[in-house]
Amino acid sequence: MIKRYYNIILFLLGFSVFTYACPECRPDVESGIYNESFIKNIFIVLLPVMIFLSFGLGVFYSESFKVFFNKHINKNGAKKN
Amino acid sequence: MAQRKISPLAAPGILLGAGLGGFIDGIVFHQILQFHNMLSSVLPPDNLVDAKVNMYWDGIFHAGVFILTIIGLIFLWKAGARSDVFWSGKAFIGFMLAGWGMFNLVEGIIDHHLAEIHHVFEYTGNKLPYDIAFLLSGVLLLLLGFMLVRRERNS
Repeated sequence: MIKRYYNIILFLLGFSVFTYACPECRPDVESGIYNESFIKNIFIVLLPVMIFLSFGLGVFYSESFKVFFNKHINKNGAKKN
Repeated sequence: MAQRKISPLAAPGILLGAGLGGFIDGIVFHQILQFHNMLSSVLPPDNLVDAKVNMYWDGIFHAGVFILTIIGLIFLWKAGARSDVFWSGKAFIGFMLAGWGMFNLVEGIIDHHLAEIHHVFEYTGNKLPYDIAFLLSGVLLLLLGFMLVRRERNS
């Protein structure tokens, strides 16, 4: 299931490689985007999204986590065999 | 019959609220009102090239919140397959409002205050009141959402 969505996400992010600004200003636009700050900018711009994705996944799978931990840890906090 | 609950609506509601809240920010503040762009503090869009560079980063932001929205829809679909969900419209709206509020808080703190890549209203001498108002809107939405969910849970 993860693999299916991984391909979709890669496809969407793949658009970030190309910038078809007008021919006159394209070189300047591309050098304004793909420079030494590119990685830093990607990280900062997408950080809120990543935080929410992690939070949403955590909430969605919280019941599974609870079942997993209850199964493997007994009442005293010791690991079950 | 298993007891029905509203908690399966939390993840889809919060993600959809955050995603749609991000779209509202992008469409209203970046495009219609043009109060700011993604990097308008570090690269003011005062010429065509810098405006296009900002447009690119606005697009990356929109792509990110689009992914949040899609995943929220997937989780909503999965909640639909469960038999233990109490389908409360008020609770779902509450979760969405909470998600929107949390997004405003997280995005506001990171982008406006910590990284300072842009502020809510760039074209003023004093940007702080607008940034604070944005954070307060997040707190308000979060409280409203929380109250709605709690009321439904108790009823």
